[in-house]
Amino acid sequence: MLEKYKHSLILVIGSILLLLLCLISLYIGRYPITPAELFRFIFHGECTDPNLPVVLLNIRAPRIIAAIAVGGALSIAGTAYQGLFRNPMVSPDILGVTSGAGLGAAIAILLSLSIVGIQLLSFAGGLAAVLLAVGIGKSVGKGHDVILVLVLSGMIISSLCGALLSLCKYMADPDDKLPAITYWLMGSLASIRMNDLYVVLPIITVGVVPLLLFRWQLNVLSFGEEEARSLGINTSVLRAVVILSTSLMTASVVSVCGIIGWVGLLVPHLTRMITGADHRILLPASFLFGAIFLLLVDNLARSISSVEIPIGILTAVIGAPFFLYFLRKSKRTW
Amino acid sequence: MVNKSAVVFEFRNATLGYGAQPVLTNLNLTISSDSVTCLLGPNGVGKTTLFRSALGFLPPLKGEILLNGKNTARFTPKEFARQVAYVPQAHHTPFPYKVKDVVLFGRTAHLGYFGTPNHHDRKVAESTLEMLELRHLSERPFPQLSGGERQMVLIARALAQDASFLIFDEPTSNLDYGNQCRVLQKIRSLQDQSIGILMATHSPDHAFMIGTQVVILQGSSLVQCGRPQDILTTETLHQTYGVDVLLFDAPQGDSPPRRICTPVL
Repeated sequence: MLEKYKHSLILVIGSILLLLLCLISLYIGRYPITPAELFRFIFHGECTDPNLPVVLLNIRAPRIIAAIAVGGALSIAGTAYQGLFRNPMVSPDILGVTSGAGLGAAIAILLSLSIVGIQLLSFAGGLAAVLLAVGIGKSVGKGHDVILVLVLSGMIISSLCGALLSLCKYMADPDDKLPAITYWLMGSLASIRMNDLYVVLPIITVGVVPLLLFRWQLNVLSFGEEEARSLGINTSVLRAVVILSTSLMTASVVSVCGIIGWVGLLVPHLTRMITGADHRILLPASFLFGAIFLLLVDNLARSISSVEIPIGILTAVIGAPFFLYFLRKSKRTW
Repeated sequence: MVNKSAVVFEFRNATLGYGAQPVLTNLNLTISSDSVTCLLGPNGVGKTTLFRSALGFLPPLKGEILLNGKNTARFTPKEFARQVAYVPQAHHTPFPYKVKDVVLFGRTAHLGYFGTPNHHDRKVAESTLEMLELRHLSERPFPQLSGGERQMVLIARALAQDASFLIFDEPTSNLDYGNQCRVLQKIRSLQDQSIGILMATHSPDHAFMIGTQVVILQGSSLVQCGRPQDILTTETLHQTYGVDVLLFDAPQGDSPPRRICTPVL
């Protein structure tokens, strides 16, 4: 019982933090707004400055929602994969979804497709990479350790996509297309508009819900494939559900904001240190903490210098030392 | 955990193995839940293959494996887990689950599709820990326990599963002498609760101590099966392991003497 209260408390505190951070994020930005104006607009819907609604609703709000959705989705995906692969060093891109999406985007840029075209091809590339990895795993993996074969085929697909991506860069016009590809790969939430969110948010929901429904089964699965089966879990169905949900989420996220690394590896760790290993609390909490983390980093990305810093660079710069610190601190248990 | 219905495992002309390589051929064997069956055999003879097939991880290449007359392939994992529980060798897990959560995993077969354990499940897990005298460990992280403690927790998990048949994979390997004895004692006491046991072991003494039935795997198809006193002879043990052993009847106080086995070095 005590445990239940602790879990609720973690989620409540996390939500309050996130809400506060949202308010702060609405306030921060190049266009100056006084706190009084902000509160008057939020609570009474009125303002004297005609630019204020545009800045808040069309620019800052979509970006805040995007940071929450992307950070949450990548983190919950990482948590689910770490459980599925029984390895706390796994991130959502282990089956090649990000490199596939990157390749898709690079090809689209090379073909001078529109933004929607880039997003579609990137999403398709991400899913195709995972399907290929799973397919190779299925055809090679008879009688082997399923998880091991999956990881290896994921590596094969990732490095193949990486090589093809290099080829795209090599062939790209160095004056406009090469920078476009490079910039896209660094990841950014700057260009996300409300229209993107209308597509991405439902996909993320479709990915998150099954993971939360199977939260207990994921606990058991993280103990080992055969043991989980002997405990009564249909492991092949559960594995398929987890891979499908995480891939959908990650591919959709990467397709609108590029490659944002570290979140899916770092946040599950951080969360596990606070909540323990139980996926019943770990999954929702990692979504919440991932949202908080990325919103924080995005605020930094758009405010520490006069030129916006790509968020993918910042997550790595902040993530690496953080990770090292917690690794040292946690010692034996993850 | 009383009045379990009897469970019978039956291997019918079963050929077991991986891909095109059969490890055990034309196996005919019946194992019933009213006995403690010890599975003996040299390394690599196919004890693990037999287990993995019995548990449904490895479909038989030929023939069939029946549980209470029904082909094991036709069980859902959940149906199967309510009848048969598996106790693997104590192993490591990277995630710091608490002992009480690990035991709760045993309740999974009794949950709904998206279910999580409820009050009753927690009670079952608690009473199982109580029974195995592990209560003091319940808040400890599983990965931090000693090998013996972990093995006991895995037994607790299998008991919480409330199955009528337990399959142990060398439950005493990696344990110190005291823990080996304690684990064997617990396994023997399970028999009094009408829980059937199939256990792989490397020690013929285990069969004398707790076995009511012993199965010896020798070649790919040679199976000897019977009461330990009857079939564990110096000749059979020599055939099986290729070493000479001596058998003695050791006095056990008021209880009837127990046979023990010692190698000739």
